[in-house]
Amino acid sequence: MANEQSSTGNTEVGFGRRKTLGAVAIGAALLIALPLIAKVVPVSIPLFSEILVFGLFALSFNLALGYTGVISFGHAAFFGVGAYVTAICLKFFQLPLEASMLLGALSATATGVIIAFLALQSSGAYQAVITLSMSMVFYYIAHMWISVTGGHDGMTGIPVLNLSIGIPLTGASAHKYYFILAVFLLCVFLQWRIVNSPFGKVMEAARENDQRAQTCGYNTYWVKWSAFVLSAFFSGVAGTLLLVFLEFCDVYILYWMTSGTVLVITLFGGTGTFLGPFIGALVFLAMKDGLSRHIEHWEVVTGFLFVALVLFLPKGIMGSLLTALAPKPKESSLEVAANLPEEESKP
Amino acid sequence: MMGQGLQRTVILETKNLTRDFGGLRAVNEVSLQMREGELMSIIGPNGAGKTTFFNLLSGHLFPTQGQIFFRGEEITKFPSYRRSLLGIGRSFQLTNIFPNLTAFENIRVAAQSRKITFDFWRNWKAHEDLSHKADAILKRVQLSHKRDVLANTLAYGEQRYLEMGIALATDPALLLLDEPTSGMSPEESRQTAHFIKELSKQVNIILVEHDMEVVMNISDRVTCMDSGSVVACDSPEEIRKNPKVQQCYLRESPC
Amino acid sequence: MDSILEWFNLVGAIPLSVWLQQMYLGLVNSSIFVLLALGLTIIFGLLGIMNFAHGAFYMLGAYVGWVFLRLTGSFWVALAIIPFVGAGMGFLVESYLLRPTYNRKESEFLGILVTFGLGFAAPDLVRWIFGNLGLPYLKPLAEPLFMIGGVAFSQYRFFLILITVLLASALWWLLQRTDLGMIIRAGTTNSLMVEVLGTDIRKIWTFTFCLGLAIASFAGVLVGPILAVQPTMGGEILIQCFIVVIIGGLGSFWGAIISGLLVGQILTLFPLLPHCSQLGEIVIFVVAAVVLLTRPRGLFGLE
Repeated sequence: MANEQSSTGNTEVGFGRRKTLGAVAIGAALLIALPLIAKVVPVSIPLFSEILVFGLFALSFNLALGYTGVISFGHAAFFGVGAYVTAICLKFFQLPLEASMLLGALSATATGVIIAFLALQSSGAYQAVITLSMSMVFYYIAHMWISVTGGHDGMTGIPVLNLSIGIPLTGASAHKYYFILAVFLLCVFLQWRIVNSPFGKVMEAARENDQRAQTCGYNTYWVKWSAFVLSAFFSGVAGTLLLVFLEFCDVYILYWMTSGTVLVITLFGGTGTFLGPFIGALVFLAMKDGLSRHIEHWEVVTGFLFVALVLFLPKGIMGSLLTALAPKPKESSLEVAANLPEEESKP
Repeated sequence: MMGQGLQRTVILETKNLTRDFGGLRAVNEVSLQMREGELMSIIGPNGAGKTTFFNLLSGHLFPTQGQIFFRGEEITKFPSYRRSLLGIGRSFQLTNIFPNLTAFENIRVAAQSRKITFDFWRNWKAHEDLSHKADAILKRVQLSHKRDVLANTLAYGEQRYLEMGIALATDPALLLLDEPTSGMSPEESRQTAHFIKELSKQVNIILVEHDMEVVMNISDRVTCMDSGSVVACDSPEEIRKNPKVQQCYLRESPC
Repeated sequence: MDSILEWFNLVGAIPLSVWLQQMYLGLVNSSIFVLLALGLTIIFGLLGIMNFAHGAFYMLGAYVGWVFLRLTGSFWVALAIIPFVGAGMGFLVESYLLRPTYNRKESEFLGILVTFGLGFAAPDLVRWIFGNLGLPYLKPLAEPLFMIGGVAFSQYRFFLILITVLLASALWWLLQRTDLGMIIRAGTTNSLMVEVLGTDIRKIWTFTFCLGLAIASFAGVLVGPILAVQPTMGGEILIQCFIVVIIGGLGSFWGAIISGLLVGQILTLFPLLPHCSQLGEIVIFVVAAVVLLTRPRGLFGLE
């Protein structure tokens, strides 16, 4: 959670702005050049497509969790609605891909509006309870509406994807990867603007101290609501990208475990930096891919990762890395707290 | 500009303001008027209802009965953010800052509340006036050297000043300061008192304080509360002599 | 218009005995919800931790209970042992996984991450050990106890309801009439006060957590004979329990009971209505949403 890590701007200040921009530029270049690299080095393009999809999902999720402090255990609803509505538009209405994706993202946003009203009736652990349980209604709907969604077997028969300008996006092609990358980069850019805008700063203030932000004159309810709905929108876009990637839709993406997966990915990467969640997705999915031969029960690993994160790596990868690399480590609250005598406070 | 004539306008008025917590009446029919240009202090023994009264003024609690008027407008039912936008600023007794933001950002985001919230696109730095304002206030509260330090790593006294800086950044017409010198050494308290006095030339201030030296030195008027009611409201000299006021404090002393 | 009238006609044609049968089954469902919701409530009330692993321990109770059933050949032995196994697991979790989070910043969030992680890992862990198929439980007390409208209901179901009433009463007595219960109910007040009363608060936290898990795992064994035991049963019941708690109000004893009854009845009665077989699942969400928007603390919630 962001409070356990220095606030977003500051780890970058500590690390050095130019180093950060340099690292990001290199990363982006690598991603763009990936299909070329794949001709020489055995790199799996579909894996990176998946990383981009879940990376975007995690970045979107972090708008709510890390930046605004809204605890959502039900983000799979937006991801899944984005994917399913896109699939439905393609299959049943034969809409072009772009229109279907837009409708998918908008449907996810509408879902976000509903859940936002419910989630913001509370805060903290109860918010997690509300978001987890309320988001599951979409799973049940998809499960039951077999005629449309195919129920538990998933939705097949989606027409071949074609960009309206005539480029097919099929299979493991480089075209599909580039399309996903393009949408990913666009969304990341938009999120970066939002996070560095005046609104982004108010999001942080509302997270840091809701009451104080109100006393300064901010109506924090609508700030959190807006941030949550934005998070839902981008999560929906990630969902549409998932559909493009899989060309198939399955109820698992609406299941609470998918919400849990994006949560662990985000925490793993670290909620205190902008790109942390993406790094989390990268490492997590790469690990999963690499170990898939040996580990069949990946959910067990994921579950224990939650516990390990809490006990050993609260700042996530990025947070810990940056703290280690920062030239002048500022005495963080975590270190200060560690030096205080242990009080027997209520858990 | 402060009214300078004899007929100073009333900036804040409460009428029979009352707050109950179940069977306990924390604030009992308090009717007060505060005029432009004066620095009022509220004193009283522990449990007198001072902080509850403040919470009623700033909108963190709503009254069971009674009304509050700010510059003639009734604000009784307004939530705290709305009162802030009208010009009521507040600092807190228990330090209430944005822990993981820098000192600069703490003040800048407070200043931004007067200008814009829902701008999703422009970079925050584009609003240069806000950054300048934040730096100016940082200078005023003597925290310029700690500009880029995380607020939760500041020393206690520095945090109290940051607290006031945040309140100042919202351009208040009326500033409610809740025990600003709490936890400070006598020397720090004196400095803070001087700071507040200087501040009062531009902003109306109501102060809740325990430190009598501070109160007597800087206040124009002092209100003494006990058990939720106003016992006396007068100039510092008169309050000092007032037997009822002396009694509340005598009664509080353990021996 | 016609089809709505037709629908009402169909509903009206359902004999009373069928309604009663379903309501009785609803009571059985409700009993499980009540047991689980009460456990969740007392853990949250004292420790401030929302136990996202509550469903997982219910599921583990069912599985481990089955193991004891196979070992001893007796359902009753398994039923009697499992609460202690559950408490033992609770002890391990609380002492080694939760306790390190208590003194940290945002311990509330960290606590739910730990329990959520356990709940996440549990189904797959169970699949690993037991495979994907459901486990066959013995059916004890299978002889019919009474009849409603021509359908026989076993003694077992009655036993289940009875044991729930007994347990709930015992919990009520514990909470209202004992010092321990007073401390648990005091919950949110500072532990300094509690320590002054001469008790070691840490032991009480551990005890409360173990008690909650003991009840959850006990409920898991209870449903063994009448429900399909599957790895996913924990997740499903957790969602439903959260709905119960949202409707009834967190921290409310009677809220858990009344809401548990309500949700149980909705889930069992809706399948009676024509064309509505799974609508009950959706309806409880809608009810919860309405409660959240109108009375965010729940129907019987405090504050």
